[in-house]
Amino acid sequence: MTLSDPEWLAVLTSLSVAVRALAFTLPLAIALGWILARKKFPGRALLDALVHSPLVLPPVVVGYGLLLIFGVQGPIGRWLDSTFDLRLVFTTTGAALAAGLVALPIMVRTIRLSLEAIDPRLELAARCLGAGTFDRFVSITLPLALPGISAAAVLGFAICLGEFGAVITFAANVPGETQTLALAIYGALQTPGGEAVAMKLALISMAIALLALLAAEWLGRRAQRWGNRP
Amino acid sequence: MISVDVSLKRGDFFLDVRFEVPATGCTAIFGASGSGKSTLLDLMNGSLRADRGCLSIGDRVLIDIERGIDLPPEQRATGWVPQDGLLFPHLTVSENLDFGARRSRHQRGPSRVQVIDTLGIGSLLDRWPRQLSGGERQRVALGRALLANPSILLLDEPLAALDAPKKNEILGLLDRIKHDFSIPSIYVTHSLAEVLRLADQLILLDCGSVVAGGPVHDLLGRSDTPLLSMRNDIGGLLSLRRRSTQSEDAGFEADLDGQRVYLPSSTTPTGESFRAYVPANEVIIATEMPKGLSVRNVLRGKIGRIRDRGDGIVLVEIELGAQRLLSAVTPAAVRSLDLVTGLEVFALVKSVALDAPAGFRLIEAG
Repeated sequence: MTLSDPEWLAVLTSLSVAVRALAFTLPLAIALGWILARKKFPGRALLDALVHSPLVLPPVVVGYGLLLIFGVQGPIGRWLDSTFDLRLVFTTTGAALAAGLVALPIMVRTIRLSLEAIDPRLELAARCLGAGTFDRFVSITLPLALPGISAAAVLGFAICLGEFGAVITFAANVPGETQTLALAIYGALQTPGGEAVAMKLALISMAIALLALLAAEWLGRRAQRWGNRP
Repeated sequence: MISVDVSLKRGDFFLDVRFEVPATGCTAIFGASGSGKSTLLDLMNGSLRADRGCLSIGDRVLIDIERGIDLPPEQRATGWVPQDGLLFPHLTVSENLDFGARRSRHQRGPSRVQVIDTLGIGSLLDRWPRQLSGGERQRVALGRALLANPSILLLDEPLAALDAPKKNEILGLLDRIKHDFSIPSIYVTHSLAEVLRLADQLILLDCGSVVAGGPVHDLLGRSDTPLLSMRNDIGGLLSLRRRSTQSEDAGFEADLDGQRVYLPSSTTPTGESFRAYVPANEVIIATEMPKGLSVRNVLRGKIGRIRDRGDGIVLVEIELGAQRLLSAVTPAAVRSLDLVTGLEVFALVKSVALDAPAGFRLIEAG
């Protein structure tokens, strides 16, 4: 099975979108997971609902919402454009933003669960041994949540690779910029005689997804070296 | 001095604790579950905030609410050792030990070698916490706390999760720690045996407040100590000094303020002092020097207070110089012997009563 240049491009675009998406969603998901797992504050339920909303909204609505906010006419979009000369619409970064937002709820949920499984008294023990807030987070909380964080990363990566609705609504279908595998498959199916290409791309999607799952399994097993509780 | 005067209200529970003990040796906080002893420890380690009061160890003020001082746990330098040890599961034993040492603010403290040697954990250094037994885990937890160079050790029922032989083993270690490292400790427990073996000072806690407190030898051997005097295993705690090597008839002699006491066995070296617990129901009172008895220990004393517990048992304090024994007798015995305060009597204690290795008849170095 050989790939033509446009097909390769779709694979590379997909990977690029997924990697960029992870680069901003993972730290955000860790922060949100930690806040939701550990902090009590007014508006916590609202934040929880907001974070989870992409899960229950149609992805097209997510993309449309992004368009309203980050579009050239949107409040943040206009500001980014005038201040940094940065446009998100029709760009790989824009596609990453759309895909990352859809992946965020699942990632936050996974990380939050792994944080909640950590005995908070372990952090107290670290405190009594002289570890301050940041020190404790880095030396105790983060390593203990690592299985959850790596699972969240792999899941998020897989979701971003396959995200369709939000990406096509916000970033459109630009080959080499925003045309990911999912969009390329859709495009091929719209083209007469494109079934063979669609099938090829579908098989590639499957192979990448399988690899990601195997990687998740391996990471999980490595992290299992220690349980969360002795 | 360790000076504690704090209160805290949480829901229906109100803790209001005041006491002052020397900043040396082991202070046991003894009480039933729900008495507030673990809450008190959480106030001391800083995981709970007091509503009111102050807490200081020597000249270090940890809490003074009025002056706005309430140090966070990471600045308190308290060596907290909970029931389950709470070792960090993602770090090896060695890394666990170094965790606190690396972050210690103070310069001088027990050396790593010394701690590892005392606790006997040299062979465990490369292991993971999950590969350790309960007793080993507690050893490492103790080591980790000691190496952080704490100004006080806070031990929250550190033996509760262990079986009897392990308990004894760790008790022995705690005893060694007490002598090898001069770090004061607060020891929370609901086990009288642990108090008898380790405590120098005893604070009795009930329903969130202190009902009695003071040197352990004073509180035991008294007929009216709250919480303790109604127990069936109440007794007196004696300080003895090992006198000679083995005497002719296969026993050991010890000195009790000039009187001679015989023990069937002893691990204490000659000249060293140790404590012996004598349960009240092992002590017989005679008004004249008895003859023809197998009892080896006949101690001359004077009756102190006599207290009828109201459950068919009368507790009689027997003063042996500065020390005190308790004897449990029936009201009928008090009447027929005409036992009154000030009466010269003989207290009869079988020497085997002074020698059970576990349980309440403890004989320990110290």
